[in-house]
Amino acid sequence: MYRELKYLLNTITIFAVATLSIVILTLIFIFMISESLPALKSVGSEIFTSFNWYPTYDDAEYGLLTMIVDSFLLTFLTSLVVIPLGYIVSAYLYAYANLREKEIVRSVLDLLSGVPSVVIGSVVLIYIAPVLITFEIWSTENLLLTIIGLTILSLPYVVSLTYESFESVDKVLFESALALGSSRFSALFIVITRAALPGILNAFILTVNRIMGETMVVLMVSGNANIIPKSLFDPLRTLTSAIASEMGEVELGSLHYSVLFVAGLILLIISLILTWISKSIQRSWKH
Amino acid sequence: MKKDLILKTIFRILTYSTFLATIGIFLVVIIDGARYFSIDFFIKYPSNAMTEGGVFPAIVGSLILISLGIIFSVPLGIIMGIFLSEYDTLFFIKPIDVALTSLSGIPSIVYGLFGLSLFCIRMNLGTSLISASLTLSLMTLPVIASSVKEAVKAVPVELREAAYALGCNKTEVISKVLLKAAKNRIITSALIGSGRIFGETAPIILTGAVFFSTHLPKSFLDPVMALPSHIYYASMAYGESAQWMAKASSALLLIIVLIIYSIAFTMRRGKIGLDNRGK
Amino acid sequence: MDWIIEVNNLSAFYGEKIALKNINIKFPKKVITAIIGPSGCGKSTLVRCLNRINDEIPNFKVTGEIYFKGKNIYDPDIDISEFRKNVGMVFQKPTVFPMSIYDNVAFGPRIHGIKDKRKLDLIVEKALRDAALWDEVKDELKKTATQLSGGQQQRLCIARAIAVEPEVLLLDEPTSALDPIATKKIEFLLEELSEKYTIIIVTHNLAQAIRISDYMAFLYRGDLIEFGETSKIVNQPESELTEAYLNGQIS
Ligand SMILES: Nc1ncnc2c1ncn2[C@@H]1O[C@H](COP(=O)(O)OP(=O)(O)O)[C@@H](O)[C@H]1O
Ligand SMILES: [Mg+2]
Repeated sequence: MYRELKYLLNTITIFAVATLSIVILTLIFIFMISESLPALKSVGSEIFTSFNWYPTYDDAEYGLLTMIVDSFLLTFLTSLVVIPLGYIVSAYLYAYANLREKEIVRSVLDLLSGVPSVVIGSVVLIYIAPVLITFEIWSTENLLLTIIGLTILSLPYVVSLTYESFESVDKVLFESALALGSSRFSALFIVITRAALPGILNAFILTVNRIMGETMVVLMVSGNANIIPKSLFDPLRTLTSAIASEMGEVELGSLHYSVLFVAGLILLIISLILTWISKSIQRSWKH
Repeated sequence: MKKDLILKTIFRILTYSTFLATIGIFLVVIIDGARYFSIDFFIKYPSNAMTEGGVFPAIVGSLILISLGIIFSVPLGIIMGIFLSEYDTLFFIKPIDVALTSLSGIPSIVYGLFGLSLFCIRMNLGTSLISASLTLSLMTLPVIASSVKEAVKAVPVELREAAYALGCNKTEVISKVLLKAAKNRIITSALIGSGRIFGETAPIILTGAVFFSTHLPKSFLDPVMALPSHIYYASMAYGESAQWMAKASSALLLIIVLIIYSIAFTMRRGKIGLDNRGK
Repeated sequence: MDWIIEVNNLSAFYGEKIALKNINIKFPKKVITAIIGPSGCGKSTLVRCLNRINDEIPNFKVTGEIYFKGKNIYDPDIDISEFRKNVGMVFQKPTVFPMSIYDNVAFGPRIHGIKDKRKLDLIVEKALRDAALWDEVKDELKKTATQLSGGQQQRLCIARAIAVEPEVLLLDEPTSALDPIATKKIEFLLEELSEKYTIIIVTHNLAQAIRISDYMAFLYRGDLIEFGETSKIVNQPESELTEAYLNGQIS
C-alpha cells in the first residue's frame, strides 16, 4: 500500500515537473508580449520601420530598425568567419589529425566552451583593442573587434557540433571513398559532408542562434552607437546590447521600457524560428 | 597524395594558429590578472571608484547566486531529464521536448527580461538576489535537463530489465537503479550547469546585480554584487585606474569556471568517480 | 603460375595486440581466392592490409612487406591514391554514398580526373552492366542510391569499385548482410568478374568459399594454416586444423 502510494506520488511529480517546461515557455511568451503591448499599441509600426532611436527626447522616437539591421549584419559577418573556420578545424580533426591531436583539441574545446562571455568581452577590450591602435586605428570599440570576440566565443561551439556530426557518420563510408583512391579531403568534403549534412546544417543554425543572442561581448566592444556601420572600424549596436545597456536606466512601465521588450520579443521569435528550422531539418532527414 | 599534403598543411596551420591564439589569450588573462591577486583582493570591498580594494562581496555574491541557482535548477533538471529519457514513448513527450529545446535556444538577455518582468515586477521581489537566482536557474534548467537525459539514456537496457525482473516498479527503477548508475554523468551535468550560472552576466544585470555595494546581502530581497557583472562594470564604467580590477576579476572568474569545467569533463570521461561502466 | 600480390612476413598489431603472425602468401592472378577461418582469426585484417585501408585505424601497425606487382605498398614513396585505384574494395555492409546511383559509380573516375560527361556515361554504363545491375537501374540513374535494396546496393558498390578499372577486387564478407537470393546473384557475378579481375574474398561461409573459389587460405588465430587450390584443400587438407574447420569442429 505504502509502496503503491509512493509510486503514484513519484509518477505525478515527474509528470508535473516535465510539464513545467511548457509552462515556462508559455509564461515567457505571455510576459514578453504583455510587456511589449503598450509600445506596439501606441508607437505601432514605426518601431520596425524607423531607424531613429531617441527614446529619452521630449519628442521621443522608438525605431528599432538600426539595431535589427545591425543584429543581422553582425550575425551574418561573424558567421561568415566562424562557420568556414569551424568547418576547416573540424575537417582537420576528422581527416588529418592523429589521435593525440584529436584528444588535446577536443579537451581544450570542452574547456573553452565554458569561458564566460563577459571574460571574452574584457579580453577584447583590454588586450586586443590596444593592438589596433598600433595600426593607427583609433576606435577601440568597433565592428571588427566585435566579430573577433564573437568568433572566439562561438568557435569551440561550432567545431564541437560539426565534428560530432562528422563522427556520427559510419567510418566505413570514409574508408570506401579512400579505397577508390580518393584523397582524404575529397572523401570528407564529398562523402562525409553529404552524409552528415543535417547535423552540419544544424550546427550552423545553432551557432547563428548563439551569435544572434549574444549580449555581453557585443555590449562591451561594439561601441554601442545606433548607426549602421559602413566599415569594420565603425561602432554599432544590436538588439541585445540595447536592452542590456538601457534597461538599467528606464522608468519601469514607460514606453521606453516597453519598446525594449519589443526588442526582446524580436530576439525570442528569431531564436524560436531558428530552433524550429533546426528541428525540422533533423526530422526531414530521418524519413 | 599531394593534394592532401597541401591541404593538411594549410588546415593544420589554421587549426593550430586559432587554437594557440585562443589558448594564448586566455593564458595571458590568467597570468596577467593573477599578478594582482593578494589577500586584500579576496577579502576587501572595492573602494575609491573600483580602483582599490578587492572583490570580496562579488565572490560571496556569486557563490550565493550559484547555490540558490543550483537548488532550483538541479533537482528539476534531473527530473525533466529522466522524464525525457524514460517516458519517451508517451504521446506528449514531443511538446515537452520541443519546449525544452526552444528554451535552450532562447538568448540569455530574453531570460533577463522575463525575470525582470515576472520576478522583479509582477511578483514584487525587486532587483534582488532571489530574482537573479530564479532567472539563472530557469536559464540553466534546459541545459541540465538535456544532458541528464543523455546520461540516463546511456544506462544499459540490461540494468533496467534486471531491476524490473526483481519486481521494481518504474519509479523504483529510476530512483534505485538509473540515478545511481548515471550518477557521475548527472553530476557532470549539474557542474556544467553551475559553470554556466557562474559566468552568466546579462540576466543578472537586469534582475539582481548592482555595481557596488557596501555590505553583503542581508536577505534574499537584497541586490548583490557578482563577479561577472563586476567585471563588466570595472572594464566599462571606470577608466585606466580600474583596469587592474577588471583584469584580476576576469582571471579569477576564468580560473573558477575552468576548474568547474575540468572537474565536469574529467568526470564525464570516467577518469575519476565510482562508476566506470559503459566500457 | 602468375601472382599479383605477394605478402612477406606480414605481422599486424592493434596496439599491443597481435592480429596477424608472420603471414606469407602469394595471391594468384585472375582467379578467386577465398580467405576463410573462424571469426576473429584475422581475415579482415589481412584484406584490409592489402590496400592499406587499415592505416585508418589508430594504433594499427604492420611489419613485413606486401608487394603489388613487385612494388612494396608500404614504401613511403608510393602514390597511395594511384595504388588504391588498382585495388578496389567492397565492404561487409553496402556502403553506398548518399548521392545518386550515377554519381556513386562516377565517383571514382571523377576523383581520378575524368570530367567528360560522355566518357563518364560510358564508364558508368559499363560498370553497371559488369556488375549485373544495369537492367534494374538504367531508367533511374538519378535516384538516390540509398533507396535501392540491400543486394542492389552491394552490386552498386561492386560497380563503383570496378568503374576505376582495378586489377584486384577485395571483398570482406560481401554477402553476410544479404538474403540468399541476393547472395546467389553476387556469387554468380564474382565468378563472371574473375575472368577479368583478381578477386580476394573473405567469407565466413564455408559453402560459399567452396562454391566460388579457385584458391583458399585458411587462417586460424592470426596464423596462416594452409593455402592452396580449393579442390585440394577440401579433399586432402594438410593440416588437422583445416580438417577440423572443414568438418565444422571449429567455428
Ligand atoms: N579496430 C580494432 N582494434 C583492436 N582490435 C581489433 C580491431 N579490429 C580487429 N581487432 C582484433 O584483431 C583480431 C582479428 O580481427 P579481424 O581481422 O576483424 O578478424 P575476422 O575478420 O577474421 O573476424 C581480432 O581478435 C579482433 O578482436
Ligand atoms: Mg571480419
